[in-house]
Amino acid sequence: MIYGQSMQWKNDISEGKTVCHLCGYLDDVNISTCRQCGEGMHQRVSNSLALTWGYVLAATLFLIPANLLPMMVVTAMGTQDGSTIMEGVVYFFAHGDFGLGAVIFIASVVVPVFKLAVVYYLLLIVQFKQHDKALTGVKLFHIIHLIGKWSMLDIFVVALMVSMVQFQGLASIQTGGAAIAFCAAVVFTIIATEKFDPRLMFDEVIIKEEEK
Amino acid sequence: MKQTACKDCGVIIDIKSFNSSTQYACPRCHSVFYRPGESFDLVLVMAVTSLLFFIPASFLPIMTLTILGQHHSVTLLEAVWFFANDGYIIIAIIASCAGLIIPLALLALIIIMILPIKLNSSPKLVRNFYRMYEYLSTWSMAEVYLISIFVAIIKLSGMAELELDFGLFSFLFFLITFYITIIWFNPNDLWAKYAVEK
Repeated sequence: MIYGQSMQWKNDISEGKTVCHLCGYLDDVNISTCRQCGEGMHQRVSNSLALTWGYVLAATLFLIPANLLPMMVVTAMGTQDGSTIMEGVVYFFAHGDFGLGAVIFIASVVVPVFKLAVVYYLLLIVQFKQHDKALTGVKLFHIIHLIGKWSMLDIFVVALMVSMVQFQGLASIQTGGAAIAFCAAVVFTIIATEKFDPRLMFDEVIIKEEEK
Repeated sequence: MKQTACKDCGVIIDIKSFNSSTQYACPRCHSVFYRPGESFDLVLVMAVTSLLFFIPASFLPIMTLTILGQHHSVTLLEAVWFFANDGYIIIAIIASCAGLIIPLALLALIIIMILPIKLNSSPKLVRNFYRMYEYLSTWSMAEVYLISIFVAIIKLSGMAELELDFGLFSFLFFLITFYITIIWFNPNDLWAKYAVEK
């Protein structure tokens, strides 16, 4: 951002205002409940950084068992066979189903990892006060908001496979341990992005400029 | 004149003459903070349509699998709730909420937020419903569920004989109308009907 241009921006802190995070109603900073929708008013999400770090670390840890444990355990003709997320993807590619393999790979490997990487990047922008990267940060923030829910795809696929294939004595599928770890990773990543306040990336710019 | 602040970068934005049919974006970070919605009558019609599709979608089986003469079919809720049979009650709750219950709750909330306007009743409850709507909308994943059904169809059709049932088609129609409702409905247009509390 060009220095001279950024001078003209007035933000809520410098004007002594608070914006409702749900309905966007602007009020004085000492108002505690939004007069339009009744939501609690805070200038910034409280404990945003600590909560985001906590949830994103938890999500990262859960992603490890999610990729190592089997997602589904197939029992057919008396033999049990567990397959992890990556084994499922490899299976599709080996059988020539490239489209489907790509969908599963993107939804359950690329999206979760990309989301976590973006959240870490955003946190580092705030922690190291990289204000020139804030605009890119906001764009990435919008992207992870849009794609976030798609990593639940694998959970629903497992639900359908497990509930459909129930033939006693012939073939049956059980849920593997990875499902709960993967589900936890997805949910914690969504909470982390909800707790992250993108305004923190911009904030110090204005405060520093005011000091000058 | 209307004044607000960007939720993504904190810039104070003055709108000289606010027009509810234009899209507004933040001048600094370009985040869209106002998206025009359709009239509440249209939203109401679409929401009721969607709700009607939900009934067959949730009660009829979505598909039937046949292996060596044995038939097995599931409904949408049975499929996500099956995790509970394997002992994973938490995933069962999360998946059934995200896939079915929250989208249904959003539709119900839209209808009960719009109806009081038509009936001129108190805005107190509308405020509570609005907050519930905003919090729940993050967790609505019905479209993910639909795509996962297609993935499962391709996976299962390779294993055995698979038949698609009427529940799946009603779910598809439910999802189309649900999506249109969500896109058309802008909850922030509600505030034009209610005075700010003093």
